[in-house]
Amino acid sequence: MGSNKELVNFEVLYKRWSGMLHQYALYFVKDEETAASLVNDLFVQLWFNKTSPDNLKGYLFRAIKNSALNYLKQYKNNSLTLLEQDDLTAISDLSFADEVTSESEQLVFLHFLISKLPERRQLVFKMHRIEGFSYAEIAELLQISVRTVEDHLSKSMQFIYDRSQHLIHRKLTEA
Amino acid sequence: MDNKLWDCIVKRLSAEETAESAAMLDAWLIENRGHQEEYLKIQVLWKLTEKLPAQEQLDFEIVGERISETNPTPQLTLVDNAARWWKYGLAAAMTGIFLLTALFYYRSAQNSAQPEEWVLKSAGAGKMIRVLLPDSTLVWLNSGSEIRYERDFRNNKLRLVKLKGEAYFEVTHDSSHPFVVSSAGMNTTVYGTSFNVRAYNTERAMVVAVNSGKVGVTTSEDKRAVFLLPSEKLIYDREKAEAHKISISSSDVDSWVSGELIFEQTPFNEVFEALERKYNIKINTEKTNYTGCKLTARFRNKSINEVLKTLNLSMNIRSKFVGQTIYIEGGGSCSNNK
Repeated sequence: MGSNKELVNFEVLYKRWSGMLHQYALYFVKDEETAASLVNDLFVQLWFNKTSPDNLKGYLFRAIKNSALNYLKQYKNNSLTLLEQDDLTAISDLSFADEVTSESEQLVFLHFLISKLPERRQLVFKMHRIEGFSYAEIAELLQISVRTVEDHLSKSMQFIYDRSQHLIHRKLTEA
Repeated sequence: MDNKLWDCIVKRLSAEETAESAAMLDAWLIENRGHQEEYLKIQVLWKLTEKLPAQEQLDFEIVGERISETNPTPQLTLVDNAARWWKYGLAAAMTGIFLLTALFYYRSAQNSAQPEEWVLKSAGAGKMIRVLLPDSTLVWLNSGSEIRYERDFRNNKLRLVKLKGEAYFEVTHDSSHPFVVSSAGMNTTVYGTSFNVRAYNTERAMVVAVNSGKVGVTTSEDKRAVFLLPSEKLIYDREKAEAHKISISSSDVDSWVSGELIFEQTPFNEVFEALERKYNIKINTEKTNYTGCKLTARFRNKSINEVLKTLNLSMNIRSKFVGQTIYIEGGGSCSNNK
């Protein structure tokens, strides 16, 4: 049993990583609840093992990958073949009546745009831009080629750029 | 800019550049100033994405409880199937209880909420606005629509929003305060999810479509909730007081937010009303006959002129702009339409 302070730190840790790990687990297991359970199991384990891995981020992602793959092996009806949804969600230049001016507003908008990326592309983009994984690390974690990682990132940026003109110069006339 | 160039740009931005990609990008950059400006713009966006908030986190409570037990059992890894099914059963039961509770709260909220201060936000014709609610829920309000909510509804048991028209919601998760959209005889209840509600007074059908999460819909005729999952849509026919559920492409749920107009077997009077709202114009149809005509079409950020061109062709009508009014002539009834 840990002290109160330990528990608070642990909760901070959980809040920092659980969301991204959940999305990563979802990449393999394709089921929200299962993915959440895998993440929770990992943290419970972490708590009781009292191990403090050197590279926590790397450790967490690798551990989730293992448990997700084990889970899939156990329940074989789920296969690992995933469909690439490359047809981009239709969303073109958004023209909001209220201007997107402050940085937080811009971030809300970007967040919205990124949520419109196809699932895999979104995951690659977030792993790189939010979690700071390198191309090679992402390729290994997602079991895809570095070339594919590049492609996802470049297409994500194209998508964002095409739809964010108003963030960069705001004086665009309204349609 | 082609894909190859984009690869080079993104490689430079993410410090994963190779000699080859660097050379290609430099060659493009020195071509002209326009290219350099374009690169700078992309760089600005790239830097901005770094500040994006972390992923929405899971609920710590479950883990918190488990680690305070002395002898923890993993939730998933070692549990046998029977136990898991039992869990699902429990989850289903809990959902049921939640809905009953939500309904109860909703009723009591309806009775007691009158003296509170309500905020009204509306988007006029030709306008689309985005509203941030007190609980951080984001609402995109379509043209000719309005919502009302209590100034500080976070203190209520229920986050109640009244809608006329169409809105897309991205609801902040809060399992203890159900979020309810009330629209002309239909209630949509959720904890936290994104979905679209369309309930214009002038339209015969009310539609709820889900992008993520799960929502429950009840109507004034039928208090039993119909559940909708992502890529499902509920269409409620006001005249027949009937609801039915269909599957849809998930990209259609919020497509209007990005300026897209979608018509699916939409009666022409509703098409004209939608155009009036979106483009802030008046359409005069006295000299045309479109009885029974329906339209299935998709317009992606088209000007009103382009939309009219398509309508003219498909319906054999003529349209004339006089000031802010469009006069439609010609056409014919489609009583035997496809």
